[in-house]
Amino acid sequence: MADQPNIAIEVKDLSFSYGDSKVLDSISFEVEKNKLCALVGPNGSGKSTLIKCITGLLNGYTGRAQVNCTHKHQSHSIGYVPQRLFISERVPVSVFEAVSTGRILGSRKWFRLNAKDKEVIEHSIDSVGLLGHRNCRIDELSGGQQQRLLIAKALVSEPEVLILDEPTAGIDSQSQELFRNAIDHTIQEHNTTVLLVSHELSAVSDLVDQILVLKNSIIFNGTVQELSEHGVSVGLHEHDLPFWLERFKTDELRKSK
Amino acid sequence: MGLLAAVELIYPFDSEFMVRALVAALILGFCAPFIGTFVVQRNLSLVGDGLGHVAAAGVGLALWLDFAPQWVAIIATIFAAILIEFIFHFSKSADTALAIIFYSGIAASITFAGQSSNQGQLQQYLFGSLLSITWAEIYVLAAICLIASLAIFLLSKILLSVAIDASSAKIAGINTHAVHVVLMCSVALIVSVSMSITGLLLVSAVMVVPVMTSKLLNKSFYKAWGFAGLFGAFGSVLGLGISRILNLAPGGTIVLTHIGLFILATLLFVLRRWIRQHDHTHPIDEQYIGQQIS
Repeated sequence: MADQPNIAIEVKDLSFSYGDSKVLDSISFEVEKNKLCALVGPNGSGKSTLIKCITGLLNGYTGRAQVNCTHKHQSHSIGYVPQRLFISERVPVSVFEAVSTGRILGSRKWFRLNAKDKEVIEHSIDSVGLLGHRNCRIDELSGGQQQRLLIAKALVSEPEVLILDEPTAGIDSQSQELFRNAIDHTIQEHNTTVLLVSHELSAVSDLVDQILVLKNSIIFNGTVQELSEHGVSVGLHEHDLPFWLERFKTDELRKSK
Repeated sequence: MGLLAAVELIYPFDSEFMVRALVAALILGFCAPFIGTFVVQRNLSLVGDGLGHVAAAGVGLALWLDFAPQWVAIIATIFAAILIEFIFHFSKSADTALAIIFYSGIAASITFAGQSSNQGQLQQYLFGSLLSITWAEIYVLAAICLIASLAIFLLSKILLSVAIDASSAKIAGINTHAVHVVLMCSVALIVSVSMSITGLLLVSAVMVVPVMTSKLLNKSFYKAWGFAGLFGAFGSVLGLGISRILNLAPGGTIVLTHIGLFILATLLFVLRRWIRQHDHTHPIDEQYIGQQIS
């Protein structure tokens, strides 16, 4: 399907507007297979809209957004982790049951999961450090644990591309460390391509292969090292990378004049 | 029929009309919470009440035009269920739109029934008449409950997946809107057929209260779902028996029995939690172990 077999995500000249307001302006980038790409940008920069366009949750954009995968249905190869878990507390759901829904959606087994499915579910719960909570109700978990549960749910369908929408927002440092290990495990053992939307990259800064800085259009696309060559540090300037990038670019422009 | 004959020997079910009522209460008692579990999970516990109002409008229209009330109620509630699902899907202020549909239903029922010479019959559908149910009505009840429950059973894993994470379900290619339309139509069917049992004003209680009881006693969704049906059936039969012994209205007594079971389950839940908090001899429970591992 793909012109370049090593490319997992391909976005070309993508633009999207909510009414008269242009949220995404001619976005183009590629993400290689088995790499971790971080998408950063301030609030309102269009990160969530871009994710929705890539996953197919949003239509009506111009240009192209494509996930290249070996499965004949593109949607079956995308694992998606939302910002947080929205579940009614009125009916209990155990951790195992919640994670198994990811397997059900991925494999389309609407009736009965076999022994292999159950083994994959257990492994997925274990890989995010929640095996001890296997039979706990999901509404009894902390925010960090719920986030790791969502990652396990996405991983259990064995996706080729995993997209995470601000998964570490409001999570303590210990949970961020466990999150980092889960992402590392995903890339190393499952050969998954990861697109991570986040404000806080410090926990995964050593894993990031590519950084996209978005402010309605892509203002930086490169590696962590290339970013540091602009004088911007992922750790030090993580809270407002676009601001610092623009500032350093302006300084460089002044110097060259 | 041998089993039913044997049941007929046991007080308070020692007459044919009580056996018929027992069968109807068992069927509805199991199926209403079986479907209601997914309604409660969507935070739509009152939607059964609203559809009951619309069913009342169908009954009023049927009385006025001299049609069969149950079939007109089924058509009216299915139409309303689809409309409600579309409102949820497209509107950000669904609450007020729903209120208008529900008030229109009850207002139309009173107005339509007022045009009929049988307007007193409306009361029978509002409050139920379980003791006068016929075998023909039970067959219709069983067939419709079977269809609605089967649809929900087949969709159960999809419904749970959508409830946990609708975005992932959409990305996986699930038409979440269509799944919810089936759920709402199943609720509409249950509401329509239960009007002769608990009455339209109380049908939602049988759909919701056993689910809340079951939730207190289970940690797993599938266990809570199954037990909701069992609690529903048990509470309905118990309530019917109590109504006969104390000579009370069966519909209201069934609902009060369900509420009594819910209060009992709440007390058990609180007691169990209190014992766990004060039992220093066995401090290591499953959750504690889990926290240590993670």
